[in-house]
Amino acid sequence: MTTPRPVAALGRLAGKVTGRVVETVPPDLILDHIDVDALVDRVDMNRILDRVDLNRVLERVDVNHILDRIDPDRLIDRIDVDRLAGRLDLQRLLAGVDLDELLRSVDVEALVRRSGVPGLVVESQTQLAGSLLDLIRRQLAGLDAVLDRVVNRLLRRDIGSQPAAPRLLEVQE
Amino acid sequence: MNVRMTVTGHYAGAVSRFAAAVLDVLIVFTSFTIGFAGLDLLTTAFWGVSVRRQSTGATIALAVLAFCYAFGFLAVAARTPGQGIVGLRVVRSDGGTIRPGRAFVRVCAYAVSVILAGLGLVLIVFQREHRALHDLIAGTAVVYDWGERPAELPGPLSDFLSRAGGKSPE
Repeated sequence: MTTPRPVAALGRLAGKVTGRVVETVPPDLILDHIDVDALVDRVDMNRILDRVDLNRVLERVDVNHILDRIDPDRLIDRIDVDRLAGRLDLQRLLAGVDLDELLRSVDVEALVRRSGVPGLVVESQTQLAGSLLDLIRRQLAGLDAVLDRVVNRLLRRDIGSQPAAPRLLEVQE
Repeated sequence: MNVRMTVTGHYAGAVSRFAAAVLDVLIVFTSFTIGFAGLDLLTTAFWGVSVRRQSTGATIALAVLAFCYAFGFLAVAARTPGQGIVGLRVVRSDGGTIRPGRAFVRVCAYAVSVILAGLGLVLIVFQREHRALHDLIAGTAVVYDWGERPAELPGPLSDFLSRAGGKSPE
């Protein structure tokens, strides 16, 4: 029962001395003597990381605050779009797109109106109607010419001497 | 390749003029029938009087409509709608533009051509310039005029006519 007493006294003494030393010695002086690199080399980072609860860390992170500090223009400038596009699998991307749903949201009428297709359709229809009308007129004029030729033959007229057009309109030709 | 012969301004023949006349008659009769039926509907609904039995009045109304139709269009456009569709135009005998006075005389003289058992119209086939009796009275002629496009004959016929006449198609 007597032996633990000197040990306890020594412990108390050491604690007091150490406390005094720590209070007296400036921390910067101690830190100057420490080789931080050597210290870091001795640290087992994987062991530290295993002990860190990342979920708890992330819960404490204010994402909005981080995003506010990011400059999107600089970020985009650093992106190599060609390289990014090259890595995209378009087939897989398109396979996931619901084209029916996409087309349902498209205003096709406005799209067609803006493309100028109605104007082209009207123009082509007008041209078609004009061509058809000219075709009929041409056939009628042809029949006129044939009938005229037959009548001239019957009446024994000189075809070359027949007046083709009124005087003023002949001059215009 | 056949080159089509241009006939713009040439005297129009009997077939084209007959087709134009048929179209005009159709337009006049159709519009008159629709108008007459509408008038009959209105008079029956408001006064209980039907105009269908007024055959003399209807005939006079038809004649007035036909006259107004022919004179109005000739005075304004020098062609009736039927002639416009076929591609014809009424001009003075020398090719100048007709005035309303001449158009009036032509429409009045048209009745004479028809009344004489249609003999006035037969002149279109045999007269050198394809002018009917009413054309000769009014001093007018009918020519091909397709507006901005040139009046043409069919390609094969143009080819034949140029070979037969020794002329090259225009």
